[in-house]
Amino acid sequence: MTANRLRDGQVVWLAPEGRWAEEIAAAEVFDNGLIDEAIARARIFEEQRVVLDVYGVELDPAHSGTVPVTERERIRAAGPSVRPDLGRQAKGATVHAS
Amino acid sequence: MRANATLPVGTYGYQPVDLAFLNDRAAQFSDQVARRLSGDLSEDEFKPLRLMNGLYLQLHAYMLRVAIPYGVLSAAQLRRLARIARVYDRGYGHFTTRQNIQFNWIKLEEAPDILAELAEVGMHAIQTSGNCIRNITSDEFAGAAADELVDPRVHAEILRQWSTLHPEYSFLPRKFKFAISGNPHDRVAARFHDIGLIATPGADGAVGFEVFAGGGLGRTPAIGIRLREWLPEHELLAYMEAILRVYNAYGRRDNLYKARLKILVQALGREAFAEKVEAEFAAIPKERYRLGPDIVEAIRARFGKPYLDAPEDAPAELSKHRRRDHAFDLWVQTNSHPHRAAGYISVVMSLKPNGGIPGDASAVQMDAIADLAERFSSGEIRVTHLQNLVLGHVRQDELYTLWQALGPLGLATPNRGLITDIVCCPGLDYCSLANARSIPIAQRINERFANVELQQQIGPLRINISGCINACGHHHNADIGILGVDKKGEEFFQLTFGGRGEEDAAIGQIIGTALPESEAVNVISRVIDTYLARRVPNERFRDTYRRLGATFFKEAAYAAA
Repeated sequence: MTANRLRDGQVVWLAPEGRWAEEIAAAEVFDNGLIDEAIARARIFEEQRVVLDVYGVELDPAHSGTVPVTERERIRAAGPSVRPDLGRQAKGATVHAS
Repeated sequence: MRANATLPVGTYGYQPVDLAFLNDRAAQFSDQVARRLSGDLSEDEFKPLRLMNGLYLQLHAYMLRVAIPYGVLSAAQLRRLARIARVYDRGYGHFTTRQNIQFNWIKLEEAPDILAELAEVGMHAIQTSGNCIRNITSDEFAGAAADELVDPRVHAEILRQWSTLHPEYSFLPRKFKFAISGNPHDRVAARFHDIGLIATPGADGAVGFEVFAGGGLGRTPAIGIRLREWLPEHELLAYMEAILRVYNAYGRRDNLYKARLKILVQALGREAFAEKVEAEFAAIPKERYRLGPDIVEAIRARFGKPYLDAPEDAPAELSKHRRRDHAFDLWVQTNSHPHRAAGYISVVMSLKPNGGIPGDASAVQMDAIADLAERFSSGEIRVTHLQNLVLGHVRQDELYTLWQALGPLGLATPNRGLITDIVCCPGLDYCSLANARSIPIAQRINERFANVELQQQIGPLRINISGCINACGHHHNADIGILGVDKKGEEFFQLTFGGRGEEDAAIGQIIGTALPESEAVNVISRVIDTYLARRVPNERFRDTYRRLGATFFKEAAYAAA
C-alpha cells in the first residue's frame, strides 16, 4: 500500500501497525484477496490528513523481497533511475529501477 | 558590462503595485496551505488552488513549476532560483520546453515560503498549470538577433498582462498556449501553438501580426491554420479576445482528449472556425480593446536596454581567438548567433553535456551563470524552449574569457542544434503521467554520438523525446522524434521522422514499430549512417530525408532491427 505524505509529498508505504514508512522494505504485504479491504482501511489516513492518493502496488513474485512489478513503482520506491544520488536508493534502499 | 538604466535589462520592470500583488498572492496561498493542513480544506477543494499556483504532485514529491515570462530572467531572479534549488529542493532545477523551471522535491508546507521568496524578485507560479492561458513563450534571441524584425517581448508582456487572471479565461475547456516571435525565421514553433504570432513591420513602420491558431502537439498533433496574414497592432487584443471567446463558447468540456482548440478547429473546419472568429471580432467594441501606441510605448519603456558599447576592434579580437583556439572556434560556430549591434554576439549555453540530463541545471551552475550574466551580458539570461540558456548581449572581444569560464561549469558543450542537443521531458523518472523513461535514451544517444567531429559532420539535426503521448518533449516536430510507450509493462520507443517546428512546419511520421531502448538507438544510428552515405554536399538531414523519402529510410533503418 503506498501514498504520498501530505506535508512533504514524500513517497511512503504502509507498514505494520498503521505506520507509514519511507522504505518499501518495511511495507506490510497483503494477499491479493485482501487488498480492496486494506485500501478501504488505509483511506482513513487520508481523512486524518497524514497521506493522500492511497493505492495498492503489485509486487513481483519473481523476487523474494518487496519489489514492485512496474517500472513506475520501482522508481517511486528507489528514486530517479538517472540520479542514484537521490531518493531512497541514495540511502541504500534495495529496490532499484532497471 | 553595464546597463544604462535602473530598469532590469530584458525583463519587464514591475512596479510597486505588481510586487504588492505577488506578495498578496503568496500570503493567500500560505493561508490555503494552512487550511489544508488543518483540515478546513479537503484535497478535492485544495487541489485546484495548488494547481493555480503551479504545485503538482508528481512521482517523488510535490513539483513546483515557476513561470519565466517569455523565457527572460534577470541575474537576481536566477540567483533566487538557485537559492530555492539549494534550500527547498535537492540542489537543481529543470528548464522546460515552455521556458519555465520545475523543482521536483518540494514540500507542501514550504511552498508558501517559496512563493514569498519568488515574489521578492518579481516571480511567481501563476498560470503554470490549469485550464488557462499558460506562460507565453518567445524567441530566445528577442531584442538581440540581427535577423529580427520586431522585438516580440513588448507584445509578449502585453499579452501576459492581458491574460493574467483574466476572469473570462481562467476556466477554459483546456490549457491554452501562446508563442510569439518577431522574426521571419520561426524559432518559437508558432504553428504548433493554440495561438502563434509572428510580428512584422509594415511598409509605414507600423507593427502587425501573422496569426496562426489551432496548432498543438500531444495526442492529436496539428499545424495551426493561418487566420490573418496581417493583423494591425491596435487590434491585437480584440482579435485575441475573439479567438478565446469562440474557443470558450464552442470548445468541448465533456472529453479531456477533445478539449483543446486544435480539436475545435478540426471539428468545425478551417472556414467555419475562421468565420466564427471574424463574426465575434466584428461584434467586439474595438475602442475598448484598442491597443494604442501609447500603451505599447509605456510597456516598452519598462524594459531596460543593454548598454552596447563594444570597441571597434571587438570583431578582430574575436577572430584572433578563433584562429588560435580550435575548440573555441568550434563552440562559436555552433553556439552563437549574430547580434544586431556591431561588436556584439549572442551565445547559447548548452544544458546538454555528454551524459547529462537535458534541461537540468544545478544551483552552483545557476549562481555562476547569474554572475557571468552580470559580468558579460547586462545581467540578463534567456531560457530557450529547446532547454538551453542564452546570454544575449556579449561583447565579441570578451567572448573568449566568457567561454573559458563556462568550460569548468560544464556549460560550454559545442552542440547547439546538433544531434546531442536533445529536447527531453522528465519522463517516468519524475512524471506521474509518463509511460516510459525519456532521459536514459537521451543519454544513450548522447553517448553514441558524443564525438564532436562526428556531430559536426552530421550537421543540424533535432531529436526530441517524450515519455508519453502528452508530448512535453515535442517529439512530433523534430527531425527524429521518440515517444516512450508501455507495452505490457516494458518500455518501448516509437520513432517518428521528418517533423519540423519552423516556418515549414511538419508533423513527424511513424515509419516502423516501437522498439526497446537499445534497438531504437541502433535504428537511429543506421538512419544517420544512411543519411551520411546518401546526402549531397551541404545537405541537411531533413532535406535528404525529404528527397529520398520515408520508405527509403525505413528500409535502411529497420532492415536489421
